[in-house]
Amino acid sequence: MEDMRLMERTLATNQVKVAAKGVDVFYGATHAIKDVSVDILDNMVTAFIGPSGCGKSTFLRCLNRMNDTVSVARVTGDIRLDGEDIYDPRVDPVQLRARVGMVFQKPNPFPKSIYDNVAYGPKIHGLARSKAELDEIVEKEAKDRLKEPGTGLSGGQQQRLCIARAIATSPEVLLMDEPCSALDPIATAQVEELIDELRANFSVVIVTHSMQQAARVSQRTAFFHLGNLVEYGETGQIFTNPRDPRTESYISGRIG
Amino acid sequence: MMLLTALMVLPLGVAASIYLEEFAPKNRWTDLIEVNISNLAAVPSIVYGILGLAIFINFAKFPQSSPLVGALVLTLMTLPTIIIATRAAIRAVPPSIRDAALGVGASKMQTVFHHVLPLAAPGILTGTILGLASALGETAPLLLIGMVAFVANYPAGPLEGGMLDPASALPVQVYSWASRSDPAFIERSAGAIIVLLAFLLVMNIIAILLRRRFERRW
Ligand SMILES: Nc1ncnc2c1ncn2[C@@H]1O[C@H](COP(=O)(O)OP(=O)(O)OP(=O)(O)O)[C@@H](O)[C@H]1O
Ligand SMILES: [Mg+2]
Repeated sequence: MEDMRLMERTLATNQVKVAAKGVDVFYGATHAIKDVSVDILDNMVTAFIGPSGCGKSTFLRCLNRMNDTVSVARVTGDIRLDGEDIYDPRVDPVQLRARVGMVFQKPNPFPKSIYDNVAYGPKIHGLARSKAELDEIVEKEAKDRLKEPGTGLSGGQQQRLCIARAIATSPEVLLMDEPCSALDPIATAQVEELIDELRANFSVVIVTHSMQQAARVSQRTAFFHLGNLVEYGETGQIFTNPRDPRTESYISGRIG
Repeated sequence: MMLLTALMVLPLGVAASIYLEEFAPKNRWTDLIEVNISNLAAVPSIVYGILGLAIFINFAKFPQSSPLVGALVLTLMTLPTIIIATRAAIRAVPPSIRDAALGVGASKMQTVFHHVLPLAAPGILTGTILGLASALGETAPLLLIGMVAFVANYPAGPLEGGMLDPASALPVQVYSWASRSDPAFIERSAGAIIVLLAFLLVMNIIAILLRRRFERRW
């Protein structure tokens, strides 16, 4: 069983899930992302690291068109999900976000029960034809205390609820923007474990400020600096043998 | 009449606020509308009375002193207040909730109707009831549309077309009774005032109860 999964993983390893080419993002006159090209691979965790304000969140939000909701933001370039241009006018950003889920930095459960939180995505996308099917989807993700309000949970539990809510719609790509920044080490470890499990079914992109976390959970790492993608490659290589002097000084703590 | 006002002003006000807050593009037009709404909220009520007289009675030829016209005038009058309160309530919903809904793939409409509106409901209700409460005590605009006429017959019930019969409103009644010298009317106006205050109290209690029910923490 384990072997099979491993084999599947290696077979799928080099498939490009999301391909970004020459992406620029402007906030009014601010040039936040400068000509970034990245291939995000399937069944892998890709980490985005870099100093604050370098555009990690901005780039992440391009991948599910959340920047559409920011009126001053303008995105140019080419981003393809499975070869399909997601900025094509025929693509519905709402459908896209069902395929590319997102977990935010601050846990933001709906002020409803845990059940309703998890069930919301599948419900609006018509993934369940009956109440029983819906129950089944929810129970896959959350086991107990289903009736309790999601806002009554602790921060770490809320974040895991948000992850459950995001994966309940069975997206193909999961974007996580600093999902552990508000969590203690134990909750962080739980979330990281979860991320590793998720890799089997999704491709995961995670923004993080913790080098250790990037090194622990990711297979690929991208280092951003002042809106540029400085270096992108295998996590091991980035951390042990960076090619760019800026990457080196960042991971050794000299710029930040 | 107040019920009719509420029925007209609530959907209109909430719909206008949702549009302005969530869907309208930000340009010179919407800015202009915004400024205008705040100005309208400060216009003295008697001006609305004249407007009502000109539009509803002289132009649209609705019968004078009818509750229908009264309700229309009060609707116009409370609309800006309610739009302002509703927009404030909508704006108070944390943006992270919107992100959350959009992030799981809800459309703009679904986000607004499933999440933003329920969370804004307590604020909207409070604003509406406060707006209506001020309309309840309004005399000046009603004087102008002729709701002072001495009403000899009981107006027919609202379901039998009473909305078009001449009628009077409580505050107007108080005004006309209190200015008579006949001592019998002093008692009457005192009675009318008590009824009016009781109504106000009941409305505010309803507002508080509704708010308690809808209130949620996040
Ligand atoms: N809504 C916005 N309007 C205008 N400018 C913005 C907006 N969002 C981000 N920016 C600008 O874009 C740049 C990149 O911001 P971004 O949030 O992507 O950084 P980040 O790498 O995620 O930082 P952090 O690590 O602190 O989260 C910043 O200079 C910021 O000022
Ligand atoms: Mg960020």
